[in-house]
Amino acid sequence: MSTKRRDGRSHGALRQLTCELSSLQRADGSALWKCGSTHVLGAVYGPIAPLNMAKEQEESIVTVLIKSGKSEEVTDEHKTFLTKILTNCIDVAKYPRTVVQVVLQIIQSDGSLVSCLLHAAVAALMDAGVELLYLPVATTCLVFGSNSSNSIWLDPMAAEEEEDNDNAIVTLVNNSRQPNKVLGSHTIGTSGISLNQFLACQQVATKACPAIPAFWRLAIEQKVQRESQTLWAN
Amino acid sequence: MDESEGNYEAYDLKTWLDLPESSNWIEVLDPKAHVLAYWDQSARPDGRMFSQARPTQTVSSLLKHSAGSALVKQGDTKVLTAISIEIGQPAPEFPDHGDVMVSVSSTTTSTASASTLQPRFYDRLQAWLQRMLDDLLPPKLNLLTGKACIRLVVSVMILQDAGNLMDASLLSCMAAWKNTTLPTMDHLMESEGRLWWKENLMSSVSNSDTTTTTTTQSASEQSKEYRISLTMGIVRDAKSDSIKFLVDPSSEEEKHTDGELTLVVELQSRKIQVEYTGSMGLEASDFALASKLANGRADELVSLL
Repeated sequence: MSTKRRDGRSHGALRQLTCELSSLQRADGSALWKCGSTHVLGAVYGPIAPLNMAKEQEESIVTVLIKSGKSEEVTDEHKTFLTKILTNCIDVAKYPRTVVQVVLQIIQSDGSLVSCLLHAAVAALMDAGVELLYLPVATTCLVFGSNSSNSIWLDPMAAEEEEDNDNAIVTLVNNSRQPNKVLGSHTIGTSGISLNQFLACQQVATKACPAIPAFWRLAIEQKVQRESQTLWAN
Repeated sequence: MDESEGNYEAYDLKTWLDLPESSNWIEVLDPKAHVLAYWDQSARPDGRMFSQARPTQTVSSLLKHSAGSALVKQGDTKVLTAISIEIGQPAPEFPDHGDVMVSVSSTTTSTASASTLQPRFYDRLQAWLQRMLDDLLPPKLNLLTGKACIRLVVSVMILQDAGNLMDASLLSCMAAWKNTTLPTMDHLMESEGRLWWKENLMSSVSNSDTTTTTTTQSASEQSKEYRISLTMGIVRDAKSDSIKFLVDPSSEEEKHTDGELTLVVELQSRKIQVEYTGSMGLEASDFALASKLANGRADELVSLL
């Protein structure tokens, strides 16, 4: 296992982020989220009335559809994980008898996919104006199984994730308002990790948490500024 | 009648509703209130402590024509797993690994818990079990590197669902894996570019010359690894505003928890995998407690495996 990262980043550095809001015209909200070479396009439709009247409930139903060119990239577990995280963060009680459909298209995958999917979905939800109780922020950590120094790499690329089968990939979701609290966790790895390694990942996620909401804010400010210039140009 | 306090005694609703005599009408009309009434008093409807799992039993070798089988009863949840063996060629990228295929099905009479009412629940359970077994089993299924390997076909049948299917299903798979007799090269011979059975595998077990077979099976038995999972419901304690862990939630409790935490523990190395989603944020101390509970559960189940 090499001690240096392939792209020269430090262990705790995120890749370059790009976010383009309202990239789709027909969706209620959309966002093109790029994290390094991982590109995800998210679209939100809703809150809309469900097609089947029998599915109407007192709270809004959130459905997540993930589209990918490679079927093995995304499993039912990922969809369930994202659906539960988004259902908990959306104020579903405010939209009774409706459905909020989130469609995520994986354009290019190069590691930390679940985090990018979640960030694209949240950006699209904000663009759609869906009320959120809090902003969930996902962090992906690569934990080395055979490394004696027990280092953790943040935001791994695909090549780093696949380098050694003994490594584990831990995706943690934190509340942007309370970064020390974990709202979701998903671990992939042949051998698993120790409790100390998991708690170390939690500390890393707590420190990295403020970066993403700040970037969302920047993206929204730029969008509002761009739209105001367009609207009031004459 | 004082409606604000929910006192309906004056109307005697029991004479109007078609309720079983033994059931509490609050439990039928407002299940959440019924369960919360227990939790607020640090109790559970079935009398267990919060950190107590339901009684768990395993029965192995139920099926005659399977390589391995096991029935797990965890409270009223019953899961049957059967493992059958195929021999084929390994994938080029993993020439010394075998293959595992998992399928999950249920009987039409199995009761519906909160989990199974969710769309495509069995697909997700299947995907999770597939991942758990893929992490553990393929390296143990090699016969001839690059030429032959074992494919395990794991069939999981949900006989009765009374909550916490994940734990029962994984334990059932592990018990069936323990019960499985794997063929080795001692049972096979290579001829004309193909593999042939030397003798019937089942008859070799009852053969008087069992020294080699016993030795081979003991060696393979020792190399087998096992994983167990512990699922806990997350509940907010309204009085102290703290978090409570409901170990092994029943179907009645699953519907009303604020989150679900599953820890998968490898029995030998005691390494863990953490799966959590919920509306309650967990801190480091919560995960430490959960890990302790999971290791305690692993100690309980070691005797079964």
